[in-house]
Parts: sequence; structure tokens; C-alpha cells
Amino acid sequence: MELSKILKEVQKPARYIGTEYNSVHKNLSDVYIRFAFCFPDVYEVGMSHLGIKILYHLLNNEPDIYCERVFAPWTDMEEKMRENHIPLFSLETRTNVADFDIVGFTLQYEMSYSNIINMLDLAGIPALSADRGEDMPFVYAGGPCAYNPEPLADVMDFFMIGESEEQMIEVMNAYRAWKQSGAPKIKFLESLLSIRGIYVPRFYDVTYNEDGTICEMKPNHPDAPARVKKQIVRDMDACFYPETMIVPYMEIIHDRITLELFRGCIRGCRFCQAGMIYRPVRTRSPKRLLELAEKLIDSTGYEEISMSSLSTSDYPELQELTEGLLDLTVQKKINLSLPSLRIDNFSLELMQKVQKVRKSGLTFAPEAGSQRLRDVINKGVNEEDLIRSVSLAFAGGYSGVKLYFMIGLPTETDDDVKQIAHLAHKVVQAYRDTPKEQRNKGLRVTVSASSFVPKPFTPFQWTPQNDIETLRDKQHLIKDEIHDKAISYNYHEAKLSVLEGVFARGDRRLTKVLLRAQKLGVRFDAWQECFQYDLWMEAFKLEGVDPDFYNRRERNYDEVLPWDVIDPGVTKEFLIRENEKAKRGEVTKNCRETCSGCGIKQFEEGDFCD
Amino acid sequence: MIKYRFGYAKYGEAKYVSHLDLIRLFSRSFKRAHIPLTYSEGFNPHPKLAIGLPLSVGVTSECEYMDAEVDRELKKEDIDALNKALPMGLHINGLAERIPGMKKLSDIRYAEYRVTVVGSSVDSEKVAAFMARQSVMIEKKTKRKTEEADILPDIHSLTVSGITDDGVMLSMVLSAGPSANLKPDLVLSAMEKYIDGFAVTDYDVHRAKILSDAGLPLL
Repeated sequence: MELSKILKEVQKPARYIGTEYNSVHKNLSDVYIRFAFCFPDVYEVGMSHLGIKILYHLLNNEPDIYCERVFAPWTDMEEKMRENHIPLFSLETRTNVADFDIVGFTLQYEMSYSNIINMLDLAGIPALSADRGEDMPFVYAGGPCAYNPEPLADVMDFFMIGESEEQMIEVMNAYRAWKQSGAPKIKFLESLLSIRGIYVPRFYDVTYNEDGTICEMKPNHPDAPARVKKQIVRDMDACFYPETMIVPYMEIIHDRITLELFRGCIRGCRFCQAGMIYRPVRTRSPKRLLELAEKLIDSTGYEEISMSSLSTSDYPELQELTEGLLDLTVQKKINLSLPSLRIDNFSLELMQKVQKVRKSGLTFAPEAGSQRLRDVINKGVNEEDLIRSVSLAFAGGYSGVKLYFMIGLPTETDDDVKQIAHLAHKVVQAYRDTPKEQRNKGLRVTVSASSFVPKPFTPFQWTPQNDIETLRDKQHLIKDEIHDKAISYNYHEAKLSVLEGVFARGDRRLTKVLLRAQKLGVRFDAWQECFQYDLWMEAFKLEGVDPDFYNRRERNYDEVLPWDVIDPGVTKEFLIRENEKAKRGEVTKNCRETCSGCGIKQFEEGDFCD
Repeated sequence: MIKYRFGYAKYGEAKYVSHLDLIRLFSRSFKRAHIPLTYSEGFNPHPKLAIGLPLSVGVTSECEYMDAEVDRELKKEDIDALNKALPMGLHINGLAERIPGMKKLSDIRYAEYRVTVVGSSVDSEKVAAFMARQSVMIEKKTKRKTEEADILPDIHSLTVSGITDDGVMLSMVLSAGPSANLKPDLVLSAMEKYIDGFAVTDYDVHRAKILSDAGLPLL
């Protein structure tokens, strides 16, 4: 192979070598199932992802399974690989991906879909499930975006919906049995139908109405469930968590130990898909977390450990946990990195203990500028709280504040948008109101405005998305309202958000657009320097698909949605109720105050919302 | 606190690990081996660890040096533990306590390389003629600019050490260290420029020795 020569010619060759500490190397003659875990982005992004760390070690704990990693080669590497006819390979053994038994993709964001098609192309694996013969591997996908599997329905042989720690072993058992039987591939897919959380798109037929909406999505196989229930882990302490993690050679985005505190979120922000699909809240005990932390510190040698969850301040035993972690990190001489916490005296004191010197940035996410709109999206933050928090922070010596907002939210007016800038000015005023002897010099307020993308299984799943021009107008509206040098302002590319919106709520008819766009040359869409909007628009035009159909329409509650085939636990009734409350500007209390009846309690037997 | 000098080899896939990444890699490996490195004082403590002479990405070596300060005395078991804690392609092959009078890493002056040029050949006479030139001018990139420079004073020896069906093996001793540093790549470019018929497409570089101003290894 020409690989050794190529590696000398590309940027960051350490992306492609796969012998990192704690990477798994097995004797191939002991292996019965070869599993390629594919992350459709570049190494340093993929290696930062917690899911890959969990599943890699979970699968490799099985003696006869060998899970290897595959990432999207960066554009310079892809060019060299194509020039030299080197197919996509796994990092550990440099095996062609087409020679694996199972090829799995994780779907973390919609704008990585073109990389999936490109990776299959590089591997010499036909992109469409129907075109893959008996000699080809099974190709499947999981991860949060799999909750709307339809844009990739014709690509994937199956999807794993939900948390796969336990389901994965069942799927592997089914695969082992099928491989031993020597039966044709279809038999394996059929055997998957008895496993919860598995969606096999070919076992469903879709018919359409004249207006292009879906008429019906119906199983065409007697064993295929009408709706696929997501899989969840019930006991977080008993559930698998790796006691070791691969330590990359090169610096990755999150280059530290990740400790997952809990899943789910009690908050119920109406724009947030994660807050809906990961219900119910399930926590790991401080005892288990501290035990994992010590093992991970010893096995990786990492100099930093961080806590991960959707809202760390809501962890019930945060004080006990952080005290334990502080002791441990002092003893092991490593750093504890804190996620963004709700600012109160406890968290400020904690930050004081943890960060001895750096008092640069604190992050707040009011998400909307006006109280009215924050009530619409059910973001339980009010201006008073925010000003109190930043004042506390300024008095504690912090001089940098980052404020995250969204524009394009449902019911948003120009006035709501302008209030984003006004709120930033109030934060500046809070700094100036802080006595000079208490505050530090060099105030920096960063306002970051991203564009709202309506997502499946949120109360806003029926809402039209703003078009590019509207989003741009709103971006400029904020800019024009900022009159202070201490405030810096940035916003995201509206075109990318709009395209993300199309795929987030797309259906099977988008697959051909995806395939066409890859042929035209799109990849790494989430990377500004690679994003080619015009090529995407050309692909839509050539395939005769109107993107506006997917994100500019107000959908009716009785419309059949492409993702209705998935059952995430929260009911449609709940989502409709929440959307109606949003229109009236009514808030819903968090799950610990009052149960909002989202449906998750009826979804699983036994009451296990934490 | 005890000052140590470590000798190590870098080979196989580990040759793609960059110099900056290597410092982090070693400090994590020491942690995994439970060897307490001495940390600097101050707000942002970092381990006291220095690598002798940066090795270019893609180059293998059997003779690298690293100085580190450790909180306690090291035994042979510690080196075994450290070697277990290192990823494939990195191996500690020497250790000594640094005593007064020992050469410093800043005393490094020369490095010997073995270069295999694949798919091309050159004979000893042509190489000797190259070395006998008055000057060897080549474009040299510095941080700020690119300029023509005479690299001949930094080539202390250059010989053909073997010819095979695959290509030619060269041995070269070049200036190295803080005051003057010449990379083998540049020597190859100069040879392409001045030796007719010599063309380089693919090559492998291996560092065989690092020498002090006294012309001796530092460990």
C-alpha cells in the first residue's frame, strides 16, 4: 500500500495511524465478527464523542468481536487516497471497510450526512441498501439524528433507535446466530425485528398524498412493529461504562476524560430535541462516578476530567460529587474542568476552588432576548436571575461573559430580536454597577446568535423555519442595536441552518438529493471552509425536490410525519399541548416540580423518573 | 527531586507523532506508570520535561534524549512500567541521573541520519564530487522568509552506505541543535539540484545518532 508515502504528504498524519494508547489490537484469527464503527467527521471531532468511547470498549469486551474505528479522511487525505486507489480503511488494522461484517455510523448532526455517502463511496460500498449484494457488509446507523431516520432510509439496512448499551449485545447475538446459519442477508434483518429499538426501513411502505405529504407509512412485513420503541438503559450504575479510554496522539476537541453524570433533562425547553428524546432522567450515583473517575485517571494519564450531562446543575448530589472529584483530582494532580453551571453562591465557590487563576469566560444561555419569548420556548430563565448571576460573577472577579441566543424562534418579532442586544447592554451595565474594587478589568461580553432549527419530537416540530433572508435581517437587526465596544457579536451561517432544517425534518425522498450532492462534491458541510451551498441547491434542482417543502411549511397536527414510525416515549398529545402553551406564552414547570405528563412514565413499566 | 536523562527510540507508526504532541504523550505516560514528575510552581503547573532535539514528523530514531525531573529515585521496574505505559513505537532505551559536568541538551551539535531513497540511485563518485563543491546553494525556509543559503558547512559527512534493487542508502552527519540545524530533506533537495539524474520521489529517514560538541552521544 502507498499509505506510508501518503501519510508523509498530508496534514496531521496522526489522524490516521490508530495505534494510540488503549486502542484495541486483537488477533484476527480469534475474531468472528468484525465491526467498523464509523464517525462521519474528521478524527479530532469523532474521538471527542462519548458514544464511540462507550461502544468501542463495550464491543471489544466481547472476545469474538473486534470493533475498529473509521473516520472521514480530511479533504487532503481523501484526494491522495482517490489518486492512489486506496479504499477507506479502519484505523486499527487498516482493513478495507467493505471487508467488515457490520459497518455502523453514528448520526450526531444532519450536516454530516454527506460524509456518510462519501465514506461509503470511498469504501467501494454501494450507497443504497438495495444495491448491496450478499458479499457486502450490513450498514446501519444510530445516534440522536436516527430519531428521524427517513432521509437515510434507503441507505441504511437498519437503524438502532435509542441507547444501545444493552441492545447492541442482542444485535450481536442475532448476528452471530445468523452468520453461523449461512442464511441470506434478509434473514438477519428479519431476526432483528424481535429486538426493541430496531427499525428496518425496507419493511415499511410509504404512500403520499397529492400535496406531497405522507398518506401512510405501513409495515409490509408481519413482524415489523407499527412504531419502533426506543431502547433505554434503566439502571445507570449497572450499565456499561468504559474504565479506559483511547488517548489520542494529537490534540482532539475534547481532550480529557468525560464522566457522564446522567441522561435526560428535567427542564423541557421546547426547542431542545435532546431534552425530549433522552427522557426520562436517570442518574449515576456519586459513588459509581468517583470509582469510574479513579479508574479512568489511572488508565489514561489524562491531565483533565470533565462532567457531562444536559444540565449539570440539576444533578441531585452535585455537592457530594464535586467534593469527591476535587479531592481525587488534587490527589492525582490533575484538573477538574467544570461545565457551564447555573451561577449561584455554591457554583461560584466551586469555581473558585477549581480554577485558581483563569477567570475569563462564563457562559449563559438565555436563548431569547425578551421574557415573552423565553416563556414561549419554556426557557426557565428571567432577566432578574441573569443580572443577579452576572453581577455575582463580576463581583467574584470574572470579566468575560458569553451569552448564547437563538434567532428565528416561533412567534418572534423584531422587538424580541432587538432585546437580545438590549440584554447584552444590561449585562454591561451590571458590570459598571459592580464596585470597582470588586471587579476585574477588561470586560468582554460576547453575544452569539445561532439560527433556530425545528427538530422532530419537539413541540416545535410543526413550525416553519425562517428563510435565509429573514434570518439575515435578524442577524443585522442585532448588530445595529449594539452600541458598546465591550460587546462582541457573532452569528452562524444562515444557509447552513436552513439546510440542516431540511434534513432534520426530511423524508425518504431526500436520499437521492444526498447522493446527487455527494457526486457534485459536497463534504464536511459543518466546516465553513468546505460548505458549498450552491452545490446543494443544484442537487435539489436536478432531483426535482423542493427544500421549502420540508422547512417552510406550517404542518397540521394530523399530518403524518416521517418520524412518526419512531416512538421516543414522549407522546404527540404532550407535544401538541406544549406547542399550544407556547403560542399562549405559558410556561411548563420542570419535572421535579410537577409532572407534565409527557408520556415517558407510561412508556416503561414501573416508575423510574429520577 | 532528581534530574534524569532518558534515552528513547521512536519507530513504526509513532513516527507520525509530532514534537508538540510528544511532550503531552510522555507526561501522560509517566502518569500511567505512576512515576511522579516534578511540576513547576505557579498558577499553571506543568511537568519539567524537555526533549533534546525535535524530530520531524515521519522520521524514525533510535537515539532520542529527554530530560525530566522526578520526585523520587527511579528503579529498573519504573522503566519497565514506563515502557508498558508508552504507546506502540516508543521505547525507553537508556536512563542516567544527570550529574554536574554532564553535557546539556543545548550542547547538541550533530546528528547522524540514515536515509533510504526509494526508486533512485547515485554512486559514491557523484556524492564525493557533490561534497567537493565550493558551495551548495539551496532555498532555505526560515520562520520569516525563504532565502538562498549555502548548506555545505552544515554537511559534515555524506556517503553512500548501500545500493539495493529498491534504491540507495545514504549516511549523513549534519549540524543539529540550537545554533545550526540542517534537515536531511534539504540535503536531498540539494543533491537533486546538483547531481544529474538523481531524483527523489519517496524516501525514509532514520536518525541514528545525536552527538554533542565533543562528538559523543549524550548518554
